[in-house]
Amino acid sequence: MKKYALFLGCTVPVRAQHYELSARNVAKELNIEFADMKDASCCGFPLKAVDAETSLLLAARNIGIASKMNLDLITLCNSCTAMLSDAQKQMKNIEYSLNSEVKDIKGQVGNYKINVQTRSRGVIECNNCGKCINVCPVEVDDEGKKRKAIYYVPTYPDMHAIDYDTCTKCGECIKVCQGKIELDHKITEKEISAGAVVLATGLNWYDVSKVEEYGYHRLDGVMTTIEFERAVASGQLKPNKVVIIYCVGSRDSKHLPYCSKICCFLGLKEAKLIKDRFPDTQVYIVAMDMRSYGTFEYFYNKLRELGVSFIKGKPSEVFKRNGNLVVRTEDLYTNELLEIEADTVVLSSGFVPDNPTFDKLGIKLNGDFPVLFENAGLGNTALPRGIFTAGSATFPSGVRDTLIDARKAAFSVLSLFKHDKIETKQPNAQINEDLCSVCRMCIGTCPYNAVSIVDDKIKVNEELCMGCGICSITCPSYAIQLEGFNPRGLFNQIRTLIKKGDILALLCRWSAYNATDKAAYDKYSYPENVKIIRVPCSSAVDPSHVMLALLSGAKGILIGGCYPDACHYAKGNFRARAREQMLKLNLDLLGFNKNIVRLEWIGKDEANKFVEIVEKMNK
Amino acid sequence: MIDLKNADPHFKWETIKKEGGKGLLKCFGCSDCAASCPVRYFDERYNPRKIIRLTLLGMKNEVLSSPFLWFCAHCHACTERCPQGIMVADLINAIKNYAVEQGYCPEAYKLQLDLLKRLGRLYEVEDFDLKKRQRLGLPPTDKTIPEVAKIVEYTNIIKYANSKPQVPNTNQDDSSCQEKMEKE
Repeated sequence: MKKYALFLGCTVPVRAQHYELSARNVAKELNIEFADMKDASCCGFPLKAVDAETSLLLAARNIGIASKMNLDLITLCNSCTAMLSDAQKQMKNIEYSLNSEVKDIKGQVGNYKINVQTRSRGVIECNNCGKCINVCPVEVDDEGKKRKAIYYVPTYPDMHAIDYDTCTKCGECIKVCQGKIELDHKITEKEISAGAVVLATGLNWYDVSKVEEYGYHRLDGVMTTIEFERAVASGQLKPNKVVIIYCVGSRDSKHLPYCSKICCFLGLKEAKLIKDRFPDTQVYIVAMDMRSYGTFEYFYNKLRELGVSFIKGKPSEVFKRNGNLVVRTEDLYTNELLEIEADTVVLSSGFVPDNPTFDKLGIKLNGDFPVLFENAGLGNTALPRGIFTAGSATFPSGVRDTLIDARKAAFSVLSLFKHDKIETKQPNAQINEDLCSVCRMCIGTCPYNAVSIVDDKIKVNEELCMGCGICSITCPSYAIQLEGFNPRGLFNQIRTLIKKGDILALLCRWSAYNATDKAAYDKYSYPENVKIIRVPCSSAVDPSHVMLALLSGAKGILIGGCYPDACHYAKGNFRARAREQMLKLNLDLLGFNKNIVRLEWIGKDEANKFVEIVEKMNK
Repeated sequence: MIDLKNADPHFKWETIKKEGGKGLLKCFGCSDCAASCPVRYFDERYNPRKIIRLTLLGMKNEVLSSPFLWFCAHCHACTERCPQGIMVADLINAIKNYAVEQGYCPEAYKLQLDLLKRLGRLYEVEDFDLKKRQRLGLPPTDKTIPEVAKIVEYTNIIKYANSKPQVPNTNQDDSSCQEKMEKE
């Protein structure tokens, strides 16, 4: 009996059930078995007229489901057949580079050159008989799990591989192999041209030995989650009493300030792992907070039913007493000090991004995940436009979130190349090399790490620059200017605009300036001596501009910015506030009334707030 | 029972204004300070987390009149481990400062203040000590440092130390505990 995956599409299961029924009956007579495809969606044909790429992606997804079931596919609808076979042809464009490492990435959106180094796998043909493992004389300790130098790798493609770091090239495996093994370690390099890059590199564990009070490396029996999992799975460890400590290094200003989001479930999984294998083992989970959001709450409930004890509190230290590990903490529910003696302590740590890959791209994350930069106004500003992240490269996430994120990244790439031309970003910081003295002040001040030194010259990475103008204000020799914004030009503007008794309003183009537009639409009236200048960000105003306005006879200066945490340029408004405080101190010393300078947060539709402030200043 | 009717909403803001009180609002109550505290290990009635929590709730009388507020030994074990980077020992100090301002200065500190004002040091330097220093080859020291008295008079510290609490003491633990301490 031959088996096929049955792809139904949109119309057949709803409007043409008789068709499906007859097809199933005919198949039964022909001795063909149908397997239902779970999660199969529309083939994508209806969208072909709208967006070819999207429809192909939908078709490819359905083919993927069938190939996961290891079955060929039968469709009943002619449109589906055309669409799926079309996608099948296109999918041959996919190229895998397995066992490979990205050496470096150069270029920009539309024109990336990726240098890939591929290490040979050693095993070329394989039927997974496993005889090579039995004869291999080299034993390797792979983070707690014992294996041989030739071993089964349960990923794509489904076959064994040689670990060349430990292989002695004795040739024992070749003698028993039914397939083909080449012992020579070949390293080949190739260059791939690409228009865009999707990073789906995953993440790394945080180094728990940095949290010294928990004694990792110092005390026997204190181990990380992965070590514990491997030791239990391989049967080397049979614990009697286990303490799982949560949030090791997470939510901690000295280590990782963020919550890694998935470690709570990982810890629960470890507890389940022990309880499944050794039901008599006592398991304690010590957590500051248990964050089992969504459906994971059922999992949490189940573990409580299994007898896992949950203690709320953050352990102060782990130490040894009479050969036993002791975890000292406070139980927050009873308000009492608490000590647990155990033979195994598992440290469930947070995650850090895969920094080397981001470094190769010239993206400095400073230890944060790129999603921390996500901003509703400008999107993921930490990354250049041709580079996308998916899954845990963006932020630690589970399988469900990773799938959603991967789809998002795929669609972002498709929509980027939907048009023939890509517009350049406006405005961009430009450097006048005749004036630049390479003092490097702009490098430190750029919130996006877009400024760097190349060949002893300051260079702005146009893909990373967002046009906030902070560097142009910081530059002491006025060598940086934005398209449409120049600190020197701002001096001239102020000099010519401000007459005695005027009020100068320097307004952020994202929020406060739009409020003035709204004021005009809503027919508010405000004093006519208010002179408005648009600036890219409230932090793109230097105290010297304010001083010049005061010398020109202005009776008040208003700097308008976005609300705190709503800045479009990574805390530019906080910089503006710091500058305002310093300026007020200086004004006080110089004998001015310090209240004539005001920094206000004005939202983009708060026209009435703008008018109120200006009228108050005019009095 | 904590009755929030008696809560003073200004209490936490007043504490933050004090030197060292800056990190108060960052506390998310993980109890690492309470678990690290060596004083807590000997007397469970002292609990830094409870003090910080009650301060955040604004229970001014409970916090300031409690004798346990003064148990902190300034070992900074909590400061070392606080995940939010709060200088916990300094924060407790800020609350203590505020307590003195409100008239809750313990007797021991008043005596210390007297000594400092009179001598400029906590210990009196007598002829015996000077002779001992001479014998050891150490330079002589001043017996009294009168400038300290000037500084003490310049600040409001004496006025605060000798003031009485404006609100009658409602903490029931207080009297029994002081009696107990005296007996011990």
